[in-house]
Amino acid sequence: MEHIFAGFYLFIQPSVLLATFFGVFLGTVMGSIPGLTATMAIALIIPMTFYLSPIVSIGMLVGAYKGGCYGGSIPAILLNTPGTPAAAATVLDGYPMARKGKALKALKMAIYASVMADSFSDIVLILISPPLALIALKMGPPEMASLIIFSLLIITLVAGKSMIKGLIAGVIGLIIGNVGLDPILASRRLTFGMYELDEGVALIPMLIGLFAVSEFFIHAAKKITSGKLKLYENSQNPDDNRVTALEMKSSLKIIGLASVIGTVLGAIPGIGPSISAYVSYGQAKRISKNPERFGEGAIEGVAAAEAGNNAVAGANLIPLLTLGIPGDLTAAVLLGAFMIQGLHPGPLLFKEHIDIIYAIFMSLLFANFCNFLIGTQYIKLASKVANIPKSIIFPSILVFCVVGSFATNQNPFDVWVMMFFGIIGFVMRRYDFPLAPLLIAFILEPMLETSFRQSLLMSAGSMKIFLDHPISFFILIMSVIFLFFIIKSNVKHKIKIFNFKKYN
Amino acid sequence: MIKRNINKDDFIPGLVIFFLGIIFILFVIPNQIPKNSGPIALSPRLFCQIATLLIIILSLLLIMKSLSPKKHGIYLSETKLDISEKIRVIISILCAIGYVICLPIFGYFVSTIIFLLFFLLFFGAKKWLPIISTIMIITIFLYLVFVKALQVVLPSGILF
Repeated sequence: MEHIFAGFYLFIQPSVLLATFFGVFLGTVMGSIPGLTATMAIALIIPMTFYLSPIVSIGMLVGAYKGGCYGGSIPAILLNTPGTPAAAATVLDGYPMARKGKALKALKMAIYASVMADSFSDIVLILISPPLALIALKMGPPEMASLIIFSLLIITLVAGKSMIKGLIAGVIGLIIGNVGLDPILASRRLTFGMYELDEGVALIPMLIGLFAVSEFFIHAAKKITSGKLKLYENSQNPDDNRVTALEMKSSLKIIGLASVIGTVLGAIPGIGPSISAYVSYGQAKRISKNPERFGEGAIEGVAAAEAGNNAVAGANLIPLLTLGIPGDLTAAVLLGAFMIQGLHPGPLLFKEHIDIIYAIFMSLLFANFCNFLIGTQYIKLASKVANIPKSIIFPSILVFCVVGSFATNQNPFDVWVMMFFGIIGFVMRRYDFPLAPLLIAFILEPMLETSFRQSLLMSAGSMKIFLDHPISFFILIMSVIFLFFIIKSNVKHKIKIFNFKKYN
Repeated sequence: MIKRNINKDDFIPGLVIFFLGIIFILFVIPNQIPKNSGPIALSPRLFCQIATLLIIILSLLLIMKSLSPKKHGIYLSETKLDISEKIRVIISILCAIGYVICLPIFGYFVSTIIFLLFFLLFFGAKKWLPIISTIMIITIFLYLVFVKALQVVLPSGILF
């Protein structure tokens, strides 16, 4: 109990509350601008948090993540352009509603569904994490290595359009993770004589380069001609501008279902909010009494998509906090932020800093409250922000990228690292290589390498150790089964697409 | 005779990664990572060698996939560029590099004002009022947040 009070004391500081509120606001604004994602919002905020205490900075980042998740739905509904990839399913019914003059109703349902699903997911995280962390504490190096391999396999295989390219991106991340001092013997590796690389490639400049600068180059390719997109007028009927009690009642069951789907999928590494939103939308359509209304402006469609993608937010912190394995890209960025603050998520964090864990849980719930508060007020401003010309947004982003990369260590070398990874990120995206596996593999590399080599030391170089330990064996078998199903479903999916193209 | 369509979006990166992998395993790893005479698990080269071997195998698979007589074009890159777009990307990359080079010469704020103005025009901003107000707002915001609040010492050059 005293840990909960200690956590509450850490959380209740005005700076934490203010930072969380500010993070949610910034995330909502950035998520509402098409082209800027929640991940980019976090990447640009991290340099500012470097100078803050761990709880303040984590509160701000978690807030930005949650704000970004909801913010993406605003342009999806108003402009037919999802602000973030996760909001793509929201377009299906949100935009038809806006065309009918019901944009405010759709936006309000989006915020209600987002906050409810997010809170459900957070509560599951709070209940499940501590016992899971206790189990995780019993895991040794072979189990840890197998678990990381399993997670990386899922993340690399489901990310992007090609499995091989996803795997290549992941292995590139592992090689980049090798740069710097060897984790066991501390000998220099792949530094090419640059002492700045002794501690490895700096995460923040790499992150900003891969996700923000590459986006800048992609948008630089196309000359932006028209500044503003068309917005539909809101209806004069007050019932079209609010969610009625009847609509809320009919959507509650769907929000509940989508929350469960999002939470379950979110806890599995690699399954991001986009997939969860589509699965939830599909299931909502299946159980609906009027499935034919889906796609024509059904409010339940907006509720399902938004609840589905926001329920992932809390759940993907389960593998992050209990095992130190990020479930998706945003969790990977959060992991980086934790490490910058000197905290290493995983079972030991529960043992050594349980007060910080409780403070994080509290800031997660507080961020939901802020999300509701800001979301309901931001609706009035949203149309103006979502329509800011890209010709102003992207040049400003580059300036922030440069100062953000420099500010962390006040080292010009980091700005060059950012630029290098910006170009690499652009080339990878040009050739359809997903960036998420690269970043996640890079972050997990030290943990994987250390546990892999420690296992080999324990077994005098025999790989059999991974099969001799029951948990490790079970995880590896799971990996093989997963691999089989992914390959099978991928082949089926390709045949389906090919037939679709052939006959349409 | 079956006409083989090479999928260049797979073939070119596959080939580049394959050769980089070979260079890495033959030259870079032996030169950049010290050898260890003890047990294999202690070798600093071990993990890098495994990863590089994996990447060589995967790049070969990518090359084979690009050469297979299956129908291509199912997945088209969202960032496929025509020649004018390629030129715009090259210009933007060169100018972004120029911006980084100018930082220690002209100082952060002077370089930022010059390059922000250039990129605003490059991205298609036409009206001077939003251009000037964007430059002013961004510069003042960065000064207040990073210099005043976070106490970051930004590069100063010959001008400021």
